[in-house]
Amino acid sequence: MRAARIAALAVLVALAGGCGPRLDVGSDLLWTAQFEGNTFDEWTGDSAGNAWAFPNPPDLVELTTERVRHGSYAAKLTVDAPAGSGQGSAALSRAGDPLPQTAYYSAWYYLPRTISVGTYWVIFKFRQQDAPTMDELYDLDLVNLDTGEMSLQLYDHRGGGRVVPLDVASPVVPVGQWFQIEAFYRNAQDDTGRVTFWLDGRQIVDVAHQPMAPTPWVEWDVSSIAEDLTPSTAVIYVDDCAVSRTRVGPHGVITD
Amino acid sequence: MPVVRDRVRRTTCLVIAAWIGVFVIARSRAGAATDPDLESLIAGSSTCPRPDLVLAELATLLPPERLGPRLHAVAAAPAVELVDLGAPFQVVVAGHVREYRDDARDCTQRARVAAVFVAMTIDPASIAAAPPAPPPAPVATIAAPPSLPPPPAGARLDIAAALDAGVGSADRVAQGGVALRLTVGRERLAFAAGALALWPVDTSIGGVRLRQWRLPIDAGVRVQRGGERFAPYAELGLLAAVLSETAIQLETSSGRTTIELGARGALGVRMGASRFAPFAALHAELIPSPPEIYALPAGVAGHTPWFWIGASAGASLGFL
Repeated sequence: MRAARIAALAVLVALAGGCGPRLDVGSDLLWTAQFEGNTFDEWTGDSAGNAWAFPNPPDLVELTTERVRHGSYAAKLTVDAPAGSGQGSAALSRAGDPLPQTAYYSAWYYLPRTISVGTYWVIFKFRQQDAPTMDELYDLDLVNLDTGEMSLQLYDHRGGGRVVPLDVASPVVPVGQWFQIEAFYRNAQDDTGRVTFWLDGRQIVDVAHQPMAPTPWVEWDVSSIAEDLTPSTAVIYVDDCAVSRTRVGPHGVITD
Repeated sequence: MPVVRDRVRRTTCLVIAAWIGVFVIARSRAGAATDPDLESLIAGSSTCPRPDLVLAELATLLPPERLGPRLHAVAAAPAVELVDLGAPFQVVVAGHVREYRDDARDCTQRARVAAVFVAMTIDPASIAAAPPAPPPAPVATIAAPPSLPPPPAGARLDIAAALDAGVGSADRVAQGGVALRLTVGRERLAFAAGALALWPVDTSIGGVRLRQWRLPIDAGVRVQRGGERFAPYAELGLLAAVLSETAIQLETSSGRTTIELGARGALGVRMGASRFAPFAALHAELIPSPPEIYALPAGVAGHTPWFWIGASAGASLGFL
């Protein structure tokens, strides 16, 4: 009798306990980089990626513990681009076969301070294999607003180059806090091609129904490529990068 | 003349002797018939036939040493009830009812007919062994004796096709399957247990496409009401469901199986009390803590349904 009461009590506790188990059914992540190994191996380990800066020094790609979004490490991209001295570049890149024709590309950034952009400052980039554009396709640039805040601009290198109008006017890029840039990129050679960008989960531009790169080859760069910055030395921290078959979003999880 | 006188005297003596014999025999039978204990066992408001006449006729059919004990053995009180309905009349013996029709209202003949039915009912062996020629039945039987309902089965096995729909999740899901239930007990309260094998189905939770398979098993009590045509019932019990989820469109996927705990209730009705009867039921399952579906990069995509509702229909097989 006592055993029956204990069993009944156990069942009631289990029913009311809100202890539904978690069923981990898999992942749509194709690739991630969290820098927690204090290396760039996630980018460069399979020879499909690169971590580079030019000229080096003063431009640098480093691992850091100064600012991290999760864990202990992040990447620190430093460029020095004074007016009249040309382009400064620091980038993490992935290219070739590991990148699918259709995927979501996500990276988290941290801007320690506002920078005045004289010519351009590219932080997110897709490349193609096409000589007339010097392999460049879409740049997502940081720009300044009249309010003194920083915003984003999409630049299409094809056809001589043009700024693509955003669907959202002057989205503000936060300074002093982590923000996420995510893109959907379907590299189709017909009118099913598409590229879409989100800032912290908010869609800011959608270029659809048009061909993208002339070949299936894809390169994605998380970068700091700039010309004519004031102050000339600019730092961007990068963490929690991912390539996924489904959207990561600002609340997505890329590690167990 | 003396010879004639002797013959008359002898004949008179023989007639007197015969009357004395008949009187003695009649008295002995009438003694049994007028036993006050037996008179109380044959009752009713009927005046045609009167209970005493039926008893008297009965005494001619069964010897006293059998008539008394047989009437006393009848559980009902009175053992025999006579009901005069005008042209028809009824004889009720030990729960058996026989109705006869006699437009002529011949009360003596009615008493004989009633006595034969009573004798055949309370002592069929005696009648079969030495059947007195029954009087020609003046009437036609118009009412069949009522048949007692068969005792309910001690256990029933229900086999049914079932449909289960899960709600309370971001995405609803419906599954078909086969239900098997066992009920043990004839009383109002019975033990009930069952399983519902649902076919695998493709569903989606929080955008994660899944192949879901579920096997709920439950045990509890059934409250049931007997009925010739409809036997409704209600069930309440505890449930444990084996739940298997496999992602079908993720880049890397793995199957996961767990046990859900909850409560189950059902309402149903069985058509008829025979050993093989159709039934239909509605059931509901409450899962207070349904499992979470977790996938990267979405994280917790949602949870499986916390409420399931379904229906089943099939056959109920009684045994024991």
